[in-house]
Amino acid sequence: MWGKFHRLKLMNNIKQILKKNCYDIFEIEPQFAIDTALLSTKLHQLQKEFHPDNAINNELSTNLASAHINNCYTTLKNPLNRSIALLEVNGYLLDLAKDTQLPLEFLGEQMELHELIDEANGNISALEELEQTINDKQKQLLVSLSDTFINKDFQEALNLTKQLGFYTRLLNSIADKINE
Amino acid sequence: MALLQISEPDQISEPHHRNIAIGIDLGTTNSLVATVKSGIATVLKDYNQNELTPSVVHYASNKITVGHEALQFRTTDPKNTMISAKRFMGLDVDLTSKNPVKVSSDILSHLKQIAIDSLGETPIGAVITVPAYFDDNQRQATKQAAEIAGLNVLRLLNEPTAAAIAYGLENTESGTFLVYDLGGGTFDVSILSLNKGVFEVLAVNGDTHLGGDDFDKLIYDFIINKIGVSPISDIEEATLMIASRNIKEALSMEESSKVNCKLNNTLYSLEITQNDFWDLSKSLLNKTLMLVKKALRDAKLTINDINQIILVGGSTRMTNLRRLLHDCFHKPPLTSLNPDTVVALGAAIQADNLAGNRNDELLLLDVTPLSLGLETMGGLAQKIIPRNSTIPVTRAQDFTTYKDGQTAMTIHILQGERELVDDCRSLAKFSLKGIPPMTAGVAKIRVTFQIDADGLLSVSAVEQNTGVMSSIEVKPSFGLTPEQITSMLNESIKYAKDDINTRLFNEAKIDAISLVEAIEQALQTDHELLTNNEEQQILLLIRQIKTQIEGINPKPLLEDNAQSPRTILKQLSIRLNEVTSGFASKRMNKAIKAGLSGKKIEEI
Amino acid sequence: MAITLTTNAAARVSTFIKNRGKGIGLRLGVKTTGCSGLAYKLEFVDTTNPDDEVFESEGVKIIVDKKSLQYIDGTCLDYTREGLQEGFKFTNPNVKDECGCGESFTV
Repeated sequence: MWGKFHRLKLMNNIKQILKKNCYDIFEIEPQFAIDTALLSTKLHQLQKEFHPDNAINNELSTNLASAHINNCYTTLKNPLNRSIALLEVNGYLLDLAKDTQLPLEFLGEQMELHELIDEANGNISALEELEQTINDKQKQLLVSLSDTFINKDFQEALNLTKQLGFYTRLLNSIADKINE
Repeated sequence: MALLQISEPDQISEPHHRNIAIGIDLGTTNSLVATVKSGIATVLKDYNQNELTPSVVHYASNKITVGHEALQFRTTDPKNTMISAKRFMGLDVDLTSKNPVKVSSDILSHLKQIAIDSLGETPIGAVITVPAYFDDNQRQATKQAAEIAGLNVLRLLNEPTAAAIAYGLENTESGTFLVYDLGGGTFDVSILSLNKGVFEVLAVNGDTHLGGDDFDKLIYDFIINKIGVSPISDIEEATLMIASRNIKEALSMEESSKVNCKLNNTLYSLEITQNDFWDLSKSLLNKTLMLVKKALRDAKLTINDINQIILVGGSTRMTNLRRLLHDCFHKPPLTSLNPDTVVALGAAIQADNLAGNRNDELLLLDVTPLSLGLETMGGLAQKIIPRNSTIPVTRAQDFTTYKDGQTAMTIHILQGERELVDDCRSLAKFSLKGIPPMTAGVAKIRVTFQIDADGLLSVSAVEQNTGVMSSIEVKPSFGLTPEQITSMLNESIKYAKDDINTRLFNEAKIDAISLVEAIEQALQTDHELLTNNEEQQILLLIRQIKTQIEGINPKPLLEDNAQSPRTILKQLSIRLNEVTSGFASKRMNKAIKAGLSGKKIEEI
Repeated sequence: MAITLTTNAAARVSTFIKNRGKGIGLRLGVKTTGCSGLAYKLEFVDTTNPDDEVFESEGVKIIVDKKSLQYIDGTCLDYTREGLQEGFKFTNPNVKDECGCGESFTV
């Protein structure tokens, strides 16, 4: 009897999880600055309930709910994805692949950085130095981004998120080069 | 008769259903099986008190020999003796009886039998460990091998994660570990954090074709080089290979080791020192360190963030390796654990957990080792699930048609980090069929990729406008098709030492007989507790069970379908159990009343 | 009467409890089943209940609920090896017949 009740409750909880957005699942205020330690604690709590390892004694598949929680964890942990998710919460949809309109000055700087990566020509210490430079720039950008969200200046948040997308791509490309 | 073990409070289930589960470390060189008994993870020993079963199988015309007994055939009949089959898992297989999946399933069958003999019953399921860096093909092949061996796979568990469980639960509450796992044929590095019973894997890296065997090969080549003579037969080659391994093992205890080998009818003798071995192995060891650094990068950690280094795999006994790791991390690696058994013990703990026998919390959050991608225009790979994503994980991707009325399309799925399709592992080609005919670009097919907690991929597709579920036809690039598995299952019955089904049926038979006997006895003394109707119902079921037991010679069907004699017998036994449960509690009450009124139990 | 452990069984129980990190003793009991009526149970103990009887044998606390005690009073618990198997074995003077598995029995 209790087993049946537990199943129904779990089934209902799975449905709820699949409906919610990432901020709601992790019960975090929809702000850009978040406490990553809390995020991790919350992930552990949620997965204790929904991870398929725990649900193995009943036939219900919790794979989808568990995966959705993991996806949200990744989204919230990563500043770029978090920013896109937060824009969405506030009614702004951003497609980074299509929407690349940015000031010429910024694009020029990006071109330069790309050239520097190519010039490093696989030299690890040169690449790591470059990585440090871009990381510093990105950190500044993240501070501004957090402020624009606090001020509810979503138009500016859109612009900064697009820029963040460029930095992320640069950093990924450097990481790939170092790994090779 | 099974001997009893101590359970956690309130976890005990019905007798005959004690949820015993096993953990199996299916290694390149050695394999082990372990279980949790009265709360302690224990490696199960065979009749000769061996914990390790060499992963060696010898195939004679009508006899399969596994483990220690098969070792001798390495030098007497190398052609029919399969070693290091794990190295070839997931590669294109020929359907002879000696492909890697079949060899692995024969090893697993052997381990399963050790478990049954040690536990007195068939385990309900098994956790089987795989190298963390195994791709989808290699994992699928492992799962197939287990299915062919008749094992219910509870979970595929990454080897370094298993080691961390065995270590972490015993020794520490929280911290960040690096697991350095050099097996016979595979290398894994895993970085995990442990926090109050939750193991979170932060990053893995590795090489599924780098292991202890490669260090043996270095010594082998060194010997041939030094004496200037090559082996002229399979037997000489195998003998020298074994001698090389012995030298490697000797050099982890002594400064130098001497080899005597007979090549081309001449006896040669050679001394190898630790320094020689250090020079030989430096580049391989540095290769593993590169992978360690990549994993640290992915985890966004530095060497100083690592609290402990756990060593796994017999090859981590190499002195030069331990010295290198000590220098690199500025602290000695943990050597308190037996690197041969730690993976199997961790697998047993997780098996016990999955079988529902644990009261305290244990949760594993593992990751997928390789990025999952799709082939796009121009032979490029587009990543859709990045490596080190926590599993289970899903990603949806939308596709559209490029021709009017197009009803099918092909999706090529890849695994790997490289940009070019040709440099990645090809997992499968999926044909999406049954797309409703529409103008080009209107159809929107949402394909969802899911990697489950075993690290295995599944795919589904729906056309978004019409809600039509496209059918998916999978053509695995490697591994076995379902038909091939069925054919191998049939094959394995032909070879099996004793028919699994006969044994299972016999077990069900013994259970049923004891049930019937017990009830018949109860009926003799206490039948007045039953109505006539109830008694008739019980007697009818007993008659049906007896007919089923006497009249059947079970066909060797591996599928446990509804018609199998065992299933019918089990169903009848369950019915009888249900029907008599009221009777049992009436007898219990009667006994208690009698007991309270001071009667001896024997007189009831 | 009472419940007793052999020296070997007591040593094993102590090891298992020590390894588990907590627990005050060993619970022996029976539960009803559809089968022949009764089956043994063997559990670690974290808390006792009001209707429990506590025995001590070879330095190990044995806890049995009153209802179960009717069926297993006088039992001696041994730890033994049979072939590849290792585990606990009940020697229960109340038993008239037990099923092949040794887990369930009739009185």
